[in-house]
Amino acid sequence: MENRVRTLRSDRNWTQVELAERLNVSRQTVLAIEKGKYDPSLPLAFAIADAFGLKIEDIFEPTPQ
Amino acid sequence: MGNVKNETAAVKRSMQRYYWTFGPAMVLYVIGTMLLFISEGRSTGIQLAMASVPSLGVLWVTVALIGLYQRSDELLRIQMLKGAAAGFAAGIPALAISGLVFSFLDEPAGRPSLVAIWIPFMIGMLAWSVGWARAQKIESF
Repeated sequence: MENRVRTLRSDRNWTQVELAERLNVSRQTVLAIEKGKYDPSLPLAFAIADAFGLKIEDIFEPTPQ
Repeated sequence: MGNVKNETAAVKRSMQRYYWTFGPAMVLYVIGTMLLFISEGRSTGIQLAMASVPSLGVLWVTVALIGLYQRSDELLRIQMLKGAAAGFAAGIPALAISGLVFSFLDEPAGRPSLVAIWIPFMIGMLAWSVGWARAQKIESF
């Protein structure tokens, strides 16, 4: 799965720690999501979408086959 | 868990709490293990009390780990569980094999081997560490 979390975070001038605080997760988790090493659970994906004021499908998309 | 300097306040608090629980537990475990060596020759009651001290240390470590797990987010929980699974997967066969082999060898002598006790523990702990480290590099769950 691919995502735009890093771009969206940078657009808002948030640090990884600031985003992690908003999502109530660790910075390590934010880093892993941004690098595409970890696909978040559905509740966390909703929380991310909520933090950016977007829909999940605006942030996450399947990796092209 | 890696570097906590750049972590959120909640993670820093959680790790601090973990170290303050885990540290004294390990001290209790080490002291308890040393007590085992000086308990020989004492009355059964005192020996039993002294022998239970390291077990209390181990139980305390378990409490520290459970607390860390409960305070962790979803990714850290997965990493912890993968580490524990690796430790369990390696530790149980090691326990079974060393138990069978060493008890068979040592039973005629009438003494349990100290090596037999430590081998499964060390293998389990090593596998746990490796499993936890590998889980941090895993790509998808």
